[in-house]
Amino acid sequence: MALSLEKEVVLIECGCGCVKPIVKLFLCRFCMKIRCSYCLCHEIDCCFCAYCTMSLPPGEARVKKNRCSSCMDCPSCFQALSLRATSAGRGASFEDTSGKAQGDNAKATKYYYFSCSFCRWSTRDVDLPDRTIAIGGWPEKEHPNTSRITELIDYYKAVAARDLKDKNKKIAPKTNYLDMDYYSSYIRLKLGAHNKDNRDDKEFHSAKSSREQAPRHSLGLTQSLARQKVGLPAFHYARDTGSVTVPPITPSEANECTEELPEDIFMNHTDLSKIATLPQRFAQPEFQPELCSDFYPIRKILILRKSGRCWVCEHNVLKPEIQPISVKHKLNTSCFYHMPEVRIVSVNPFYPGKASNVILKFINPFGYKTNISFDRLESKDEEENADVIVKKISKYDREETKFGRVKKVEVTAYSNIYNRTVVLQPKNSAADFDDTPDLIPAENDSSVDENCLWTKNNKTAIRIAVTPNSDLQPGDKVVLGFSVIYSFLQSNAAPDLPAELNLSFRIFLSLGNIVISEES
Amino acid sequence: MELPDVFYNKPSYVEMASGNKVSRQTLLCGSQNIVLSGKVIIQKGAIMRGDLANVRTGRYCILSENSVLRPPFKKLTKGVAFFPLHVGDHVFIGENSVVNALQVGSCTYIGKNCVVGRNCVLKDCCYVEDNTVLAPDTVVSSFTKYGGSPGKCVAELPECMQELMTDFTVNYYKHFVPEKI
Repeated sequence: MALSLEKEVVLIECGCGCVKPIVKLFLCRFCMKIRCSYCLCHEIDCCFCAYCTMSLPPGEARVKKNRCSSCMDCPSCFQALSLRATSAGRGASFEDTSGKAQGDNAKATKYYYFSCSFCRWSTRDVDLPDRTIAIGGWPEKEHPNTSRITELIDYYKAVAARDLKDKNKKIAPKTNYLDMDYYSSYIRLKLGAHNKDNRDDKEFHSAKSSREQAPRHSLGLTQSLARQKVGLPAFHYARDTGSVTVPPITPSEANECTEELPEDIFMNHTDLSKIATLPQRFAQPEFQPELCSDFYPIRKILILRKSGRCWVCEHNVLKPEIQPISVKHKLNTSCFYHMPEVRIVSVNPFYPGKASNVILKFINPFGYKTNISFDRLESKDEEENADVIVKKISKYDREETKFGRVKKVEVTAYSNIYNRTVVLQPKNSAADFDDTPDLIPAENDSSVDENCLWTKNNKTAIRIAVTPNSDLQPGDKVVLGFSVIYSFLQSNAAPDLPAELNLSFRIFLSLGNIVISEES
Repeated sequence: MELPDVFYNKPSYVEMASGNKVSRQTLLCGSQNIVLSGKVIIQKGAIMRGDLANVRTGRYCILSENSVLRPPFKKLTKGVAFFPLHVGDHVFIGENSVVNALQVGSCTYIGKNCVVGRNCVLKDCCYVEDNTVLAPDTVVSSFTKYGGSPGKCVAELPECMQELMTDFTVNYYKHFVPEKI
């Protein structure tokens, strides 16, 4: 028996066309649309180490290369290294925090080293000296080409700054005052280029003359204010900040002679236990050790806590608490809390073209009574919305394109669920823990749907008849799709908006496979 | 998908006033050091080593068949010391799993055939896949799914994991019913 998280049998369609389980979807309470992870802008709230729960703001974490300063991973099996304490007098070489070597006179001092509990690798295996302090202070391995890499980075930063300055110079000449003639011609060019209907000269000159009537730079009309008055975005003119000096670098020289392989390379026996595997090399990209003797502890990578923002309206849909160990959220608009959940209770064997009984359970997550009704799947009216999202995603170079991530679900069955209504009782958290029996409706109660099997608190089970398409073959999947319309009460609705809304979502149920017919 | 009913033989289980259902075929060593907070299911063949150190479980914990709950130990200069094991609320431990952790947080799912190594810390709302071996001293942070041998983070969990596990364990308890004779 596995958690329902594993089985994706009930899928809901997002506004962008993705189908995902209800736990992976969010409801934007301002757009009132379903959003999946692709439709959210993820922001980093804080970075923390899972091992020591040290929390860092994103800026500081970036400076520390998103790695913890005190916790280490094993370079061999990538598990967390444990700190081991030992008394002095062992064979390993020691050094204290000041780097001064110590020997026989340090008997009372404890020495610490890292050891992996899984693969038994330790820092002593590679002759790293023990430390006298328990936490932190482990030196970082210095890369031999650090100065060269820093020099190149500084050089290319200076080149980029120089290019930016040159680009700005081409757009606008450097002036100490606002040159209105140049500015007018510039505006004309810009307006002609940007406006599709090419504003005519008369209109433009009238606008220009009205601007010219205003006092110019003599009254402090700055360039940015002038741009603002004519409705252009703020433009940064190149300021006279002096010329950008590009530091000289020594260019790299190509070498035609390559080092030859040792003569005995094919003759010697290779001991694979002493050679690093590819994942072990890639775990330390700046060093890429070839031999196990070159291993060095890897600083633990920090974990992110993310918040989510709707791409369309840019409101938050997910905001975790600040403390990294907390599992609570300041804001969490998961669909699990904001739309009725549908669960499959039981299914009967399916045969092509024959109706089979399926029992579905509906759960009301709200604290008020909700009516839900069902409808056929109709053509999507959210294409426009999806395009908006996809445009924004592509703007930020997201790899997942609209066509790459949308998986079309083929509906292969129909049922008698359409045009029916189910009333769900409000959720009562305390009632979930009592052991009251299920309430079975009376047979002669006309107010209750005849296919309603039972009701308990906020849960109701109904029986529906599902008929797979007659052209299905044994082994084919039976997928039922329908729209669910439910009433949603806005607790903090604006005065001009209705407090009660009718929201809908499209749902797909994977009910099972066609079995071999009894007749055959 | 709704959970199916799990039937048990009523005479072979002890049902306490607090709602605990403990199989008579379990091995509860040092029972004076074992605290079950209520609505806990301990199925047959499960072992709880209360003789080593205190073992405390929260509400709605499920220990499946042949699972082992064992307090961890640490080597000190003068021998070995065992540390108490705390298991939170709404925790599921699958069949044939051995849990040697220091702490198992609330709303945690441990699959079947898992080995949770010595002094591991499982934070709230985490998930250990079936057949996972967690190395000693591993820390499983919240909303992460661990899998493989040695166990590594393989995925993230949804933000409503707390409600999912609460719902799962409460439903499991309701569907754990005696056989009809």
